[in-house]
Amino acid sequence: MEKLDEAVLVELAVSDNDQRAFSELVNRHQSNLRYSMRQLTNWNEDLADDLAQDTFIQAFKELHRFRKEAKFSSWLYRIGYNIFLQYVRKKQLDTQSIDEDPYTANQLMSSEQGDEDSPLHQKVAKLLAMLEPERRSVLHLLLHRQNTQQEISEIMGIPLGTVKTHINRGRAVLQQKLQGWRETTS
Amino acid sequence: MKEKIDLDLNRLSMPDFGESDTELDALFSDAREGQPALFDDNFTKVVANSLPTKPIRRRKGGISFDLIGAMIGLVLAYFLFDVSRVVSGVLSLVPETLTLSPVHILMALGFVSGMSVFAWWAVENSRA
Repeated sequence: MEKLDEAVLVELAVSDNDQRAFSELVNRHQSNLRYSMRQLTNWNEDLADDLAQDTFIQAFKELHRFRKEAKFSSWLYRIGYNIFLQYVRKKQLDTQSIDEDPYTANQLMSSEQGDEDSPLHQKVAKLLAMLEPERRSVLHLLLHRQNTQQEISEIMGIPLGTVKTHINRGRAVLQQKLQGWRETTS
Repeated sequence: MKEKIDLDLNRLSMPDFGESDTELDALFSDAREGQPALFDDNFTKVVANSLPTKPIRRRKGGISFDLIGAMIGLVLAYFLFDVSRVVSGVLSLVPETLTLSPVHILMALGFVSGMSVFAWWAVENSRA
């Protein structure tokens, strides 16, 4: 089961309703998806895991729509992004806060929680939280997942021009914030 | 002149932050290389236990069946019904004169508003 191709696993899950095959897909992709969700939710681990679980469940329900020529991780991320956006719309979770200094907030969080493993990742998540959800996802896909602009456009289902705008403006905001942090710390 | 304008526009849309640009890429590069392996058996179990038990439906050729049905229906209708009578019957339903009173307009607006609210409600519920 472990060495089977993803297309075969999808076929087994769809035609034979083989949940073991789908569990194998979960095993292969959970780490990346859970990490991405943490980056999108300002490193809220519980929320990120809930969204990742919802993503896998939704993916299972829509597995018959998966085209074999597509990349499973991209397809999964598309579902995940939609789940994240639905959550934001429903709960009005918008962590964007230009006034808040993420570096300071991150320092506080680190000292309170004593989490020595992920200050870098929390810092990146805090930085991304400066952006509105769609722009945040674009920047995450570009800078962390290293997707091309065309791939981002396809994954997120938004026009290429919008992707470019998000990248230009998002980068500008992140760069300014980083510059601000550097000046604060120096 | 045109080239100069294009260059200026590019500068406007792609601001160069120099050092912090590199710093941003370096930060994400570090995060990428140091990404923790978030693997948890319990996570897989929770997902597996939440999966729907009924089989996934694959609509193989569903559209073709619909199309074939529609074609058969059209052919039958063509032979069984007198088309010119049906057309003239439908046309006779259209009134020759139409009077619109404010009450009619209000009713139409109310209907459109109601349908819009219903459509919004349906979309919101389908997302949930």
